[in-house]
Amino acid sequence: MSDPASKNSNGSPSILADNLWIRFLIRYHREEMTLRRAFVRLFDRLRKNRADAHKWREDYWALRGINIVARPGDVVGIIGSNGSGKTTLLKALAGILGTDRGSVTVHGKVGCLLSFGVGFNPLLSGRENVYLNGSILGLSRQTIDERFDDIVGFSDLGTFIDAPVRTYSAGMRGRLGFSVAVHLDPDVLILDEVLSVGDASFRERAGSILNRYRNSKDKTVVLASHSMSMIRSQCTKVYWIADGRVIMEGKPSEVTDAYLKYSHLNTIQIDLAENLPDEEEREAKAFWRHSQPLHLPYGNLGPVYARTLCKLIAATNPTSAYEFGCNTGRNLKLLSSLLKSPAKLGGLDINNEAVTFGRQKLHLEIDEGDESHLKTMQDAAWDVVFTVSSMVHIPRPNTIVDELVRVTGKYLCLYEPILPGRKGKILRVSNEGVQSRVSDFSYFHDYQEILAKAGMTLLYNQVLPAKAETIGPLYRLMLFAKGEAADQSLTSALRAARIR
Amino acid sequence: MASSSTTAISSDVGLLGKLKALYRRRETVQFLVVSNLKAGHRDKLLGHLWSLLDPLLFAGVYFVVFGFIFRMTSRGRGADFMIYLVVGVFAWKFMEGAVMQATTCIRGRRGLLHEINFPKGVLPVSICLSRLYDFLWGQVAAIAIILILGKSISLQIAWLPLIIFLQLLFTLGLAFMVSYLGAFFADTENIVNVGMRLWFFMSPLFYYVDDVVKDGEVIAKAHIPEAYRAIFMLNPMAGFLGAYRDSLLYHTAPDQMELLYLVTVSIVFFVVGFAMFVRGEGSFAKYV
Repeated sequence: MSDPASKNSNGSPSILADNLWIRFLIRYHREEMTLRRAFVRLFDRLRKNRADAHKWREDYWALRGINIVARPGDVVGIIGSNGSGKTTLLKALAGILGTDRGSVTVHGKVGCLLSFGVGFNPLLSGRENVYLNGSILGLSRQTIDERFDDIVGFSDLGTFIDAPVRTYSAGMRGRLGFSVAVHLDPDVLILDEVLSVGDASFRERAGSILNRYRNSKDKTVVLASHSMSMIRSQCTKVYWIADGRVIMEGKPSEVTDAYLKYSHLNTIQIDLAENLPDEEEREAKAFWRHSQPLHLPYGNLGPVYARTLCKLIAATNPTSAYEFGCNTGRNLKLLSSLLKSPAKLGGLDINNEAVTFGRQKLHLEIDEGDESHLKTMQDAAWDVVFTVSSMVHIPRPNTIVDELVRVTGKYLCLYEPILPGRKGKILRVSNEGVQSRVSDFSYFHDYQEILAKAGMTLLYNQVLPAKAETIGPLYRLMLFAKGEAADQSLTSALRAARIR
Repeated sequence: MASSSTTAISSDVGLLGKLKALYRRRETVQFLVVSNLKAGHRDKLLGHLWSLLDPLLFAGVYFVVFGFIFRMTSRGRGADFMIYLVVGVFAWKFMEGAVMQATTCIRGRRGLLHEINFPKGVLPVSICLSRLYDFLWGQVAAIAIILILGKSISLQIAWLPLIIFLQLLFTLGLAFMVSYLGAFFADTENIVNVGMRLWFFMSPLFYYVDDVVKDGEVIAKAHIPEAYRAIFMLNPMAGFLGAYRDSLLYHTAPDQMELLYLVTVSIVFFVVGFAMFVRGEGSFAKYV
């Protein structure tokens, strides 16, 4: 791990994050915890009714398989919306947060400034804090003595240096913090949106420091910012992070352009019964060409989307519904709770375990590529047939789509990622660990043609950004009607159920 | 600090490696101790005098309550009881102050933890050393009081450094434990508060474990029944208080078996506490 010979040599990376995963434990603060509820909870626990028992704590994966490489001379920019994992990533690189999976290797002394000097002790003077923080950062007293005048000069604090830090403004604290971090003379400098606090003259000096780092050939800077102009002017390489994953890496201009174009896509609402415009289609394809090979966790719909999907299906008032690729039957359970009248429900998945659903037991007996599973569907005509990002896992999806159409009574509901045909790694995360396999992805565009030929009409169409454990940044949720099933009242019911 | 290659995951592995890493940060500890002492009494009129005044006033209160109201000492032995109290209270306050402050030391430095990666052990260590600094001045004050009250001190005072060192080791161990627990559970503070109160009454600060005999005359009667004394003395603080009083007040060497027990307990607490702390150190930033 620490090999002095490799340090500063031109080719070897100074920062290497290899499939980095970080988990936080979220403790929920319950607002209304009454004695009665406490008893109910206790009984739920005693009955081992874990699904009903309220969750007190939950794991949240803030980073999900990040790969980052930086070499000396790089100024690496990290962009992404709020809560995408930028700061967590920087903290992991700085060694502040330990990794839960994967590894981080950083060569050289790390200097970081992640917040606006909140590490300072507010009771002590600026001078005392410079010595204290410098020492915590790893500088000797002698070194701090030597650099003290430079630190104060750079921070532009003047005589305020002897005033208690609690009297400083946020800008003054940030300037002092940056000044200490820079004068540590680190090999790797990690900065989180800190340069924007200073005034114009300070920013200019900070910019010149970054230039010095970029030209030094033995230093590395990692910089997170929301300022695209700063990223474009300062960085040599940019990573776009969303939902704890690298969405795209590359040249600053390309990545920032894509970011500006797509990051606003919280939801694009496309009018009912209307296809995605060709232009958008092309952009999506161009976008994918630039992005990294995918690391795909197994399809798991976020709770919000799962609810929308089930609401859409429930709006059709089905007497029966079938999920192709039902996993543990979670979506079916949710659907049954939303239905106005009881319906026959069924499901199928590749693992051979039985899914308990209400009082029924569903036996799942499909193996990939083996079409014997279709027997279970053959005789049934289900009112609604739906599937959630299952097609990407199927090597020959067209035959499946044909079968789905055949057993569909009234409506077919698809929720699939927008993926131009490409190869990628499918990652399965389970208690036993992480398994991966390489697989071809299919693009739902093909099925759409098949569906049109089969006389299916598109009733509902919504493009959504990825949430939770999903594949890629864009998804499409569609509901097709078979024959004459659609009527006007249904259209408005679907409209009401959609994600806003 | 050498600027050799370091990895984000500390390269110092094992307890001894972590201990070495901590020792390399002694200058940081020094800065933290100074800032801790400076920040503690800033803005107060009497300033640092409070670290002496505080235990002395406590001893005064106990003197009034237990000396006069509960009559725990025989008539005419007020000076002996006062010294007994002062020696005990200083030693107790050293441990109590360090442990109480250590409980919140990780949670209280959230900002620092999220900004810089450093060996977190410097925080509890610097707290213990700050309280040690106060305690050393307390020992000077205690000796002054002994002399002012017309008593003498003997060569047995030479035991003091060893006893203080052992108590420091014991306190460090405890401080590591509570700061580890305090980082993960905010409730630790309340539990430690109550625990300290209980421990205080379980320790012989204002009562006697054994009869105090001087020149064949019992000058203070024991408050602990003989049958329970062995169990009672399992409390390390009872041992420490006894050892301090032996060397300062009774002019005798501490009991050898008792001393051996204290050495063992101190080392065990230090090692266990440090091991706990080191184990949780990496995930502190996630929880606070």
